[in-house]
Amino acid sequence: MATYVAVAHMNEVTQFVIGGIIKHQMEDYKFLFKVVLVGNAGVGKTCLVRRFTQGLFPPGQGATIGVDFMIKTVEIDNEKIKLQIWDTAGQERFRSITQSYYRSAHALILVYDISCQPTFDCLPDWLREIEEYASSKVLRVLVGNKIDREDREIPTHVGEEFAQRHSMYYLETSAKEAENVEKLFMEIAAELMEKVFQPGRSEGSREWKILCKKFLDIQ
Amino acid sequence: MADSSAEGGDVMTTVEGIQSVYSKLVVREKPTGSTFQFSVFWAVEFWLEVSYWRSDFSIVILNKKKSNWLLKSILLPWKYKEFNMSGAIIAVEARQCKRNAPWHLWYILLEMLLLDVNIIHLVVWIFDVFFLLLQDEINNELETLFSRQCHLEAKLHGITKMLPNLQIVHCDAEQLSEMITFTSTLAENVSAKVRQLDIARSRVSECQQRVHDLLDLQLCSNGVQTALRNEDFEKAAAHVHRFLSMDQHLLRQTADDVAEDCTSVTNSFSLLHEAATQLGSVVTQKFDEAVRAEDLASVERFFKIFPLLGMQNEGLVKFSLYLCSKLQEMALKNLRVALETNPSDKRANVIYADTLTLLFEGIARVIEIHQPLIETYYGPGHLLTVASYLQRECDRQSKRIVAEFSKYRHLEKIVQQVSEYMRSSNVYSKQTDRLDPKELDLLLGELTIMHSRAELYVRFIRRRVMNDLEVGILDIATRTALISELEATLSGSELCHRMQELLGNYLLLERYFMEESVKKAVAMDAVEEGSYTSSMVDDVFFIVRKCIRRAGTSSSLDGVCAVINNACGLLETDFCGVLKHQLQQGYPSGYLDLTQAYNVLHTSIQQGRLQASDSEQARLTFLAYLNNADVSTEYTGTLRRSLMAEVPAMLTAMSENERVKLESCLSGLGSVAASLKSVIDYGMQQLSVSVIKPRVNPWVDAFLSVSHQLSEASFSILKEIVCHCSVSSFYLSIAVLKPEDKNKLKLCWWSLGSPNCHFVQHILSSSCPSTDLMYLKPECYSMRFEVFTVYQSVTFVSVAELCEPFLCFIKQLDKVCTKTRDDVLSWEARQSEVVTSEDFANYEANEPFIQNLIMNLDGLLALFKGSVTTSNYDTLVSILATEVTAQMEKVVIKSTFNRLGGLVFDKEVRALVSYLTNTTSWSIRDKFARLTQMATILNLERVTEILDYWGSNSGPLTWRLTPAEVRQVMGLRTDFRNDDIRRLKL
Repeated sequence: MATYVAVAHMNEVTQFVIGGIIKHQMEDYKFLFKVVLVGNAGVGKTCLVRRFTQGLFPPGQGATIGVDFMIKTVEIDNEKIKLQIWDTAGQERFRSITQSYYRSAHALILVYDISCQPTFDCLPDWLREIEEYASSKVLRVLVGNKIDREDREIPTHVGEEFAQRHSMYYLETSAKEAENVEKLFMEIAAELMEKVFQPGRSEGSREWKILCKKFLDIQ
Repeated sequence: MADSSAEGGDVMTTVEGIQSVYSKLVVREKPTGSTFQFSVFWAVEFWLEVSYWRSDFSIVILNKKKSNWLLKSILLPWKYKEFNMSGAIIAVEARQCKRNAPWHLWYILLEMLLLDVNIIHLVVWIFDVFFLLLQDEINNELETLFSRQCHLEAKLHGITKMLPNLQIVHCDAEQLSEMITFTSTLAENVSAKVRQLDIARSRVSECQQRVHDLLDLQLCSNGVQTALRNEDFEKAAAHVHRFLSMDQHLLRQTADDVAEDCTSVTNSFSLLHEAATQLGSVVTQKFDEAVRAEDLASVERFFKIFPLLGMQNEGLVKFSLYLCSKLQEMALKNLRVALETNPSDKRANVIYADTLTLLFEGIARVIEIHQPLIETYYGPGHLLTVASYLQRECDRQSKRIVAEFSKYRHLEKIVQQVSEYMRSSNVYSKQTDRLDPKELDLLLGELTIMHSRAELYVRFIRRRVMNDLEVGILDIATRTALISELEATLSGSELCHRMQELLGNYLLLERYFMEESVKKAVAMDAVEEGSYTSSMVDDVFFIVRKCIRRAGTSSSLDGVCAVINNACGLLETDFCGVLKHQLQQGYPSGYLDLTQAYNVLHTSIQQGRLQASDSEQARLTFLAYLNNADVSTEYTGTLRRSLMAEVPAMLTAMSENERVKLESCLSGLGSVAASLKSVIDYGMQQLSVSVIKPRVNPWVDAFLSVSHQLSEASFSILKEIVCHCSVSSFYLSIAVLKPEDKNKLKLCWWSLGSPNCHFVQHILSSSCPSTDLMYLKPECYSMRFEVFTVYQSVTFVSVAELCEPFLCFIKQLDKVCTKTRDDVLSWEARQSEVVTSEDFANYEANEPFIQNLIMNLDGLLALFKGSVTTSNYDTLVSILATEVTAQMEKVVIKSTFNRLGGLVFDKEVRALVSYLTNTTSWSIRDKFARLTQMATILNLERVTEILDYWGSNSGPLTWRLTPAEVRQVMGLRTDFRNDDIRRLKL
């Protein structure tokens, strides 16, 4: 395995850092990954997180204030993985707060609403933010949410092309119908796990590509 | 006893014979356990003897339990004896066998008997026995059945006796039932009447109510007129209230039924309706007038009338608007005062925060004062309406204050400037219009105060309205709806948005402040005398802590978390980058050439002090930065722990989720510690490459020039030298050499190895017993010259360090030389017996390698001991140990040893290990495991002795050497035969 750099004893938990990814020894999980969701206000970031962590779709969800924080432990290849999910507020006035979370993120989920063109048009701005603040090694995923809506404005291939152009993974989801939500987070966890064991790998995982392709075929 | 029975048994039948023997035994001894078994066995055995003589035999089955054993005891003797099987009798005590008779035993018997055809008729007999047994069993069962018969009969008899009693009970029960039925009918009749009465009563009271209503109606319609005329609005309102509480439709009907004329009632109705409307408009008008006239008493008076007229909402809205106008007035006044405040005023720096605070306090006071009023006249649960009106006013006023604040504090300009600077921070083009972070200090403070006050205010409103709703609204669904309405009002309020914007600005500016201040601290960095670290560590951590604490005063967890995140980023990238950059400059190993050193010494002696050279400075800086990294690691941990305690204390009422949020942000400091650790590792590697490796390697390589093929004589000398770890005593032994060895002294001096500052210091230091020096012969005076030469090759000790003791030495030598020579000679006479010149010659041929090495290492470590932190020193020692052992292993493999050489080597390794393990608080003994094991192998008496330490004999020892390596090391011993080594089974 990769070289583990032992960190000085910190409180009760001894942590090991493997290429920036923290491995916990004492607690009941092996890896801890930070996942940060960003995107315009109202694209459904909070709903995606709530659907994944609590299995609910809260109608009339109010705007997030600052940053919300949730934890879910998942299991991949019999390894317990703790996902620390940071659900950021989309509004401009919270930018200073949300920006501070980019640097330590292991994965960034950039969300837009497939039934709302402006949220898609803002993606380049978000990418600029990511370029500026996030680590270059961060896993980036583009998510088109609300596929349950009838009034789609951005066709799948447009989103997919955009993702490809900026070398991001792409997935379309529906927090309302619980479609692809579990898959989104589980794949991120699996991908991050793989990154831990093969830190030098630049190409995306085969499975992801297969998964995305399959999904797109169904569409 | 047995003999007498046997003689008497001659005339008996076989069965009887055994029985008699057995019964005798049973009578005498209790038939239990082994005694019993033995006695039965004995009885059978005995009888078989008898029956052999009589040419017949018998088998007795005695009882169920012992039968298995008995079978064995019977069959065993039977096998031994050859019977003439002309006839046999088997006696069975069937009664004893009974139900539990071991049938298998019978089968075995049968089988055995079948072996002899002569006794086939016996089989038939045995079957008879079976039948007998079966019969017996059936009889037994029948017996038990009969025994139960009488018991059953007794029971039947009892039941017959009970029968007449039952009849009586039945009669009684019937009677009771009749009685109950009667009572119940009676009760039903009574209750029916009561019900009727009740209905009648309720109708009467209803009737009465209507009559009252009718009477009141008349009264009200009359009263209202009068009251209105008299401007007695309370009374009029009371009449209207009474009227509104009547059921108008029913009354009209009643009036119709009674008088067949409802005109008067209808009149009254229309009159009252009219009066209500009139009263409503009058009260509204009067209220407005009172508001205009700022007549507080009248405002309150009319406010109380609205609910009586069924105009709660109008009343609340009007009253709220009135309160708002009051607020507005007050806020404007406050703002005017704020704008006029003298800049030199004590509170001038936080004047806008103060104004905002006054606004919030004003609203809080309004609620505090008027909530009881509303509750008394409107009932609980109405505060939400008032609060949302007040919130709107609060939004307007706070917006104005914040706008003024931004204008006068140039917030927008600063934010724009800072964000532009941050964006272009990589391009150092706009250095000129950079803001001094210090200028932001006050602004940042005011921003956090404003945010924290707003937070406090929102919490107050939320708590007040929540409590009111809890008391006033009992329906859970309505209450939940109203609570979410409250939340929406608060979180969607302009105030909150403004404050969120302010917080965003604050965070941007705080980041700038932190980054710039840290840059400044780094730029102003200085290594101070007597301190391990340079000034920037304390400065940087002070700044970081200050910023995070300030964020805490904003009462916003998100704010604190964001500042913590920014601080982590700053420390991990910028700060660690600075440290690493310095370490990348390397540690100047700087061997001075001799003439330069000589000149430096001369000038320094003349001037009385020394100038630290550039490379000296660079060395100090390098070590200081290494210490910086180490101390920062410690600070990071402390910061994390203290913040985990401090922040929750600053932010009241944190939820569990919020705690975890804070904790996970603080864990970012863990990554900082990891980065610092890697910086330290990098620095240590630098040290290892530039200082440790180039020196250690030649020192250890000197091993190769030492022969480990020793004769007995030279061994004894060397042993003495190695054992005497004290350098001075060794020195002493040289000092007392005979005059003819004088010229050898010089050689000896050099043979002490490449002279080393520590060695010199050791001799020269004042702690060196003066007796040592006292015994120096005058001839040794010339050593001054040598010592000076020694100095010249001293490369890595600062000149100042050496200068003092050197001068001291010269003084002491002078003093010593004046001592009488006789003292010296007498001591010499005693000592010369010990060290012969022959031995010395031997010694000279065998340099005390390890002493040298240890002195060298000690000298090297002494350079760092005082100037690095404990943990860095320990790391350094551990790196040094690794390097030394690795190099030692290499040279050992290149050398050859005999038995004594191995012994010496073992001693040498011991000396080395004990020296290095004593220099550090960490356990580094483990690092020497391979070397120690090599020494063990080289110190063996015979090849096969290794087996005492290998494999199952290794005990607690874990071999770090592979079998191949063990063989290789053994091969270094010239006295071990290769064949023997090859033959070893490892």
